[in-house]
Amino acid sequence: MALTQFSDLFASIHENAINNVVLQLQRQRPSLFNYGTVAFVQKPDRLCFPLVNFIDVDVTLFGNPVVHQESLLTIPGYNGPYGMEYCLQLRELSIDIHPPNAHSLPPELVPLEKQRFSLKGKACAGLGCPERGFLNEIAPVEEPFFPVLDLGKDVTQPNKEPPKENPNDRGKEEPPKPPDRPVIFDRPICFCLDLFAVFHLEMEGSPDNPILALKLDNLEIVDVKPDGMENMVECFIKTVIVLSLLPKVRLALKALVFNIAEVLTVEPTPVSASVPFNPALEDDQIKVFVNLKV
Amino acid sequence: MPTLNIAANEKAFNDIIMAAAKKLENTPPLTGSGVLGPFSASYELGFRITDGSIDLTNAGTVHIRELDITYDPMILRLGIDLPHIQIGGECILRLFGKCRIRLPRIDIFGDNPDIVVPINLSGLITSEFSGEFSVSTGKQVLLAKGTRTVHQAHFDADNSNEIRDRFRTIIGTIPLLPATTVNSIADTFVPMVKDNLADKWQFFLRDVWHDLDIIDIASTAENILRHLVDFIIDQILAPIPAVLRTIAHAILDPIISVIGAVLDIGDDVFEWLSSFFQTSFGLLDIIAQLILNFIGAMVPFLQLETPFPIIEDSSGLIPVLVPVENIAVTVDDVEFVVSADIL
Repeated sequence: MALTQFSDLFASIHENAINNVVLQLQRQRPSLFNYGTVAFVQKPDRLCFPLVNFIDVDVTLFGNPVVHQESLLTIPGYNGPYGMEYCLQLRELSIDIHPPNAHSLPPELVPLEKQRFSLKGKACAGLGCPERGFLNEIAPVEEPFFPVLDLGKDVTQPNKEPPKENPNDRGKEEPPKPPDRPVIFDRPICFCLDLFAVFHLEMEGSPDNPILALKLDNLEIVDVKPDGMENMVECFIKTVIVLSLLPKVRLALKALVFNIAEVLTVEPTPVSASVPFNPALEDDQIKVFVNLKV
Repeated sequence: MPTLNIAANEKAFNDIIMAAAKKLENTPPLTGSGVLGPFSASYELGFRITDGSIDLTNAGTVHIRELDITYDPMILRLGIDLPHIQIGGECILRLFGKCRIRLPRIDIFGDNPDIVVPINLSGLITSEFSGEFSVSTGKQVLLAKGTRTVHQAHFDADNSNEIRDRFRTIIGTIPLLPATTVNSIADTFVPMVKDNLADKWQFFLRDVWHDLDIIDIASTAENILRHLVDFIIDQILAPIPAVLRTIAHAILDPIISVIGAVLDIGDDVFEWLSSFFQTSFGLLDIIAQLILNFIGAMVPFLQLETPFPIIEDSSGLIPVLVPVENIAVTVDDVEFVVSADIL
């Protein structure tokens, strides 16, 4: 069957091509997918998932960063200079356009309906956990609690009460500085989560101003226990995607109408019985149908 | 199955021709003038695509069918500036040392130019082009790339003489061509191809056959006849009621079209033979085809780097290069498809 059976111009891209582009992006711009504090920037082999064979040789040859540097993690309630090291990695990103065959979906998302695509990603997080001895070394020494008890005239506390804080000094405390000294750790403690999401494209707006919008069908984080926590995290991510991310992924189809030299109009083929979806998500491909008008 | 496909059907090609025709209609004509001593000439030349279509063929070619370009306006004005001749102006009454009455002074040939001969051929002359073209692809891999990585090859300019030497070898196959000419022709084409050391997919155009009629006899005769008939009916027979004139047009227009078609039979036969034998006829067309194909085999009309930079370098980061392989162009009688694999 001709590719241009229902339109003047046709373009399609297979999910393998998209996944290969993402793979090249991961290999050549690893700092977009790997985040970490100073220890991981300096020694990327300490990441949860070492990248030795997963980055392009030119990244190191041209001195490009492997890990995007993040600030040290602040320890709540501790105002000292030390902060904890951590890393976050996004891996195994892939798209699977109907019919499903590029990656295995968890049972909760099966079957993948027509005109749908799924995204898969693995998020790995690692925390540089300091040794107990080191923690004891850097733990701040604060004034001990000195209770002053009033137990009557016959019972007294011979030791002197430590000087009280001058009330006038209150409010003069400097805000805690962000940590600038990393705690020493051996290997990070890591965990990975597999995340799957199913999306589809939907036409919105009026017939005069159609808008192509991305819609979330479902989302699943695999093997998080207890179930309540899994449901809570999934609910949170869904909320973030629906309220924060997807409203920004809307395309006015009018923006895809081009006028060349004021004589030739290039525009998406209108949806009809012969072209029920444009773009169409089928046969493992994204297909785009375009018409010309003189 | 290729992972990337871009296709255009026959209608898309014909829409592009129609759009070009529309654009030409709205383009102001070319004008110019020149003076040589007392002689001067000026011209006004516009182009209109009046006929033509594109067929895609199962032979894998794009067939441009009888693309007619009519010159409208096409006006040549020849002028001559004659030497000025002044008559009169003499004083016939002089009083108190001053001329009180003079004869009128006439400046013959005072204009410039004095005589203008307009030659108006607007809408009469038509050129016609027919031909079949194919597109082939090839991958250029330079030995000079050596063991460079893909990013090094992307950044490093090609300072080798590899392309120049290859061109010199190809051009050197033309018999009787002096070495200096071979070298200078090669040097002309090298900058059109030479770039960095990255591998390149190149698209070459091949002229399978073509037939260029600078003056297409059939169309030009048809134009002249049509103009003549229009002049007779609309100007000379203007007093006749409009209805009768419309009927006359309705009767004569198809007859003129038939005359044009009959006159075009010879050309059509040659084009059919060209298409059948896949070769040009006519000495000039054969020479032009040889030259076009000779250049076309060396100089691609489009070349794409592979791996292809999808994100250029910014703030010191290397560009993201994506390998594109197996680029192919396939043409059948329905559509023209460019396909590739993104690896």
